[in-house]
Parts: sequence; C-alpha cells; structure tokens
Amino acid sequence: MSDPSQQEDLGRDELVDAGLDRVELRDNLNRVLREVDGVTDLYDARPTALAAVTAVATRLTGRPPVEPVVVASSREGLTVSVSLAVSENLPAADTCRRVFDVVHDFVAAHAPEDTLRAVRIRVSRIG
Amino acid sequence: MTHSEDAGGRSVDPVALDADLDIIEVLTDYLDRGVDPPRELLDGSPAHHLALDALVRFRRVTSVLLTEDIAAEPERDDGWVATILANIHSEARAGRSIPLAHPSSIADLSMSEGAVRGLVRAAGDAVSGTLIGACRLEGDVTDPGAPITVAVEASVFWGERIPATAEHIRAAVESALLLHTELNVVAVNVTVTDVHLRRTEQEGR
Amino acid sequence: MTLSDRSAPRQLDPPAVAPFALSDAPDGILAGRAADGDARAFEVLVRRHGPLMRAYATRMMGGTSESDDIVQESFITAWEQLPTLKDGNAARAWLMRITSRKAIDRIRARKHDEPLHDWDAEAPTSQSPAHRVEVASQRERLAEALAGLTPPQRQSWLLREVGGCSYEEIGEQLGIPLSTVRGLLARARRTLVTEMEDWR
Repeated sequence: MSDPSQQEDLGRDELVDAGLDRVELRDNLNRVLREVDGVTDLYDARPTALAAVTAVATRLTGRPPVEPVVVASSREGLTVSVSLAVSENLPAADTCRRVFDVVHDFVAAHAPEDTLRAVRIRVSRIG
Repeated sequence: MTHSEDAGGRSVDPVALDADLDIIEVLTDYLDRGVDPPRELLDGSPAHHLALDALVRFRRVTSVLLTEDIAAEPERDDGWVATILANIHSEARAGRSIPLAHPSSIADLSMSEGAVRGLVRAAGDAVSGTLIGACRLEGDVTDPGAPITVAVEASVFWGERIPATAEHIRAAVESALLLHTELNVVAVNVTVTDVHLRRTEQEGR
Repeated sequence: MTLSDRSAPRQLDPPAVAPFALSDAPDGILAGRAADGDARAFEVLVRRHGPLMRAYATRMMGGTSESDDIVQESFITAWEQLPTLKDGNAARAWLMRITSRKAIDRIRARKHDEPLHDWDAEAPTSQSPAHRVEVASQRERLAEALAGLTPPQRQSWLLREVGGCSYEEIGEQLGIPLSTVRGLLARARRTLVTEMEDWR
C-alpha cells in the first residue's frame, strides 16, 4: 500500500486501490535495488526518517527497518520513492542514476500496463 | 547540629555569624571570578583566612561530589544510550536537497546536504591524525552549477604539521566531492580549530 | 579498498598513523558533527556526559527515580538545539544547563499541589543527619549536609555550583526574585561551609 506522506503529495481523490500487484512490485524493487552496484542500503524515503540516525538506532535497538521502497499509485501512474546509502567506492551520483535506470527498466518489464509518473531517488548517505 | 543560624545548638554570637555570612559571600564572589581576594581583606581578621581555607576545601569536595557519585554507580548496560538515540530525529538535519542531473523528465534525483557533509567528514577523517568537525556548504546548492565554497573545521593530532595536514584535508575533501557530487566547488577552506591528544593519553598524565 | 583514479587523497596521506577514534575527539568537534547530523558523534557525547548529567539530576531530585527520564529528555532537547550551540567546546556546561531546566520543570510540576512559596524557610532541625559515621568521607558528609538543606536551598546551590547557572538564571528557572536567590545561596553556603568546618 502507498505510504501516508506520498498520499498527501498525490491528493486523496487521485488515489486508486493499490492492490496486491503493487505490494509485489514494491517487494521486488526492495530486493532488486539492494543488488544495484554501489547501493549499500535502502532507507524509507519519507522525510521524517533521517537515514544516519535510523541506522544507529537500528544497530543499538536491533529493530529491523520497515520496507524502504515506497510505491504510490494514482490515475496518472506510479510514483516510486526511495533513499539510498551508497558506497564511497563508486561515484555516488552515478549510483543514483543507475538505481533510476533499474527502477525504470524493472517497471517496464514487470508492470508494462503501468505508467511511471515519477521516480524519486535520494542519496542520504555515502560510505 | 543545626542547619540554621538561629535554631540553636551552636554557641556562636549571631553578630559574628552575620559577619561570617558576609565574608563567605564576598570570598565566594572572588573565587567565582577566579581572582585572589585582596591581602588587606584576608589580613583584616584571622576569621577571614579561616573562611577562605574552608571555602577552598569545600569547593574541592564539591568538584568531586558528582564524579564520585558516578564512580559509585554500578555498571549499566547500553539500554539508556539506545533509548536516547532511538528518540532523536530531525528532518532539518538532512539539510537542503541537491539535485542530480538526469535526461529523463520523470527522474527526480537528489543528494541530501547531510549526505554531502557526511562525505566531507569521512574524507577528512581518512587523513591520518585528523578529525573533522562542523562542515558548511556555502552557496546555493539547490541551483545546479552555482559556485559552492566548503568550510570545514578540523582537529589535528598533536605533533602533526598543521599547514601540511590542512592541505591534505583540503585535497581529500575536494577530490571526494569531485568524485561523488555534481557541485561546482570553487574552494575548500579548512580551519584547524584545535590540536588534541588521544583522550586516554590525556587521562593517563 | 579500491578507489578510482579521481580519488587522490590516499596518495597524499603521510605514512600510516592510525586514524582517530571518534571517542578521542574533543567536544567541539563532536558537537559540530552532531549538529550536522552525525548520530555517532552524538552517541559519544551521550556516553561522555550522560553519567554526570544523571548524577546531577539525582542530586537535584533527591533520588534516582526520575533521573533517567531527565537525562533522556535533556539529550533529545540537546539534539534538537545543537545547531544553535555556538561554542561546541562548552558542550558540557550547555548540557548541564539543559539538565537543570528539565529537572526544575519536574520539580515545578511535582510542586503543583503543594504550597510552593515558602522558599526561604529554614530546614527543620529534624532533617539534620541524626547520626554521623566518624569515618565517612568528606564527600559523603557533603552529600548528607546537602540532603539537610531545604529543597530550594539545595536546588539553588546545585544550579550555581554544579550547573554553573548565574543568579539571574536561577531566579528565572525557579521563578523567584533575585533577592531570594541570594538569600537561598547565602544560607546554603553558610550551612554547608560551617558543617565542613566541623569535619576537620
């Protein structure tokens, strides 16, 4: 299901029922994006989750983070959002673009009936 | 034993006590300012000397009161630290959003200012004998291509040559920013704010 | 670690000296980093100053039951306000002031139902320690003497001598006039110093 902060962005009447395929798409993206070269971690893209703090709190409390990739859908199409921690060994901006490409290609291949409206990728941590 | 000047139990002249009270105040004021009380004041009365001795001794005990409280505490697990860290968050710390270029119109790619500051810290820390402190990105980072000046503070290990170390930090920060970001960095200014020892060595001395 | 060619700093590094542990860093560096969002630097500050803040809160409150909460609230406030801290090397005094405020907030809340304004009253003689152990350390005796003060005297004294607050700040925090602060501190100091004299 879509995330509350994204729902606000889209406006309530634009929302359509996401359905199981969205959840599947989200879960798949969570898995696939972790394998992209240079990606070391994925964070919830909601602005309230400050990546570095979340990481430290997770280490100390042992609480696993929530599924970080958010897939929101509206009549105009899908919006995919995620924040990244990236490796310092590869140029961070390139890693960010690579993630965009993977999202773009993955949605085109696995959800061809959907239109991608926006892909928001934010690098929150490097190294 | 009494805790008041007039509740009895102590055979002291109340007038002398009021004078004591005044001298304690006066001497405390000198001690607070880190100034030696004037000789004339101390030589005015033997009681003044005694009061100063008492105050100095008393302050010494005061200064160790809490550290001894801490020493008397049983060892604690990390739970209290975890609770605090689990409760801190702030959107503002992520800072400004720095856009990253992409030809696609649906791409909304960015890097947080906080990520760039973290990168600067890591790059500077990797220079041996240094730790980076505060880091500022001066200029409009939200405008692609705008000139940006980076200002970092650093603490340098005692014995390192400061100008050379500052130059290492500057070069390391600059190349990290060049590698990872699309910022138009026009200058990296390093300010060495202090020179330090390892804490364990300091405490051992 | 493999770094690309554009990453030159390694080549410039002077030969191996182990990098500093963050726990070695001075407060100013840690405060600057924490203000920039470095939670690890904040963690070092928490570990470094938390125990003192807790001991202070315990003395202020006259018991440990609320001190963990006070320390926690203080650090959460500190995290939020760190970007406004001008001199990071004064972090300890700054943290102690925040702790003062949090403790006083609780004392005021606690006093809500009680008659509050007998501020400058004398401690009843019954509060004086009844028994003295000859071998008690000076610190234990100071602790005893402190416990014998009235709560406003004890709080004012701790705010001044341990928390480093000015007379004005104490008046503000306790909600009492400056003249009352002076009176409280004078009585507290005299009682404590006089008792100290008895210890010799």
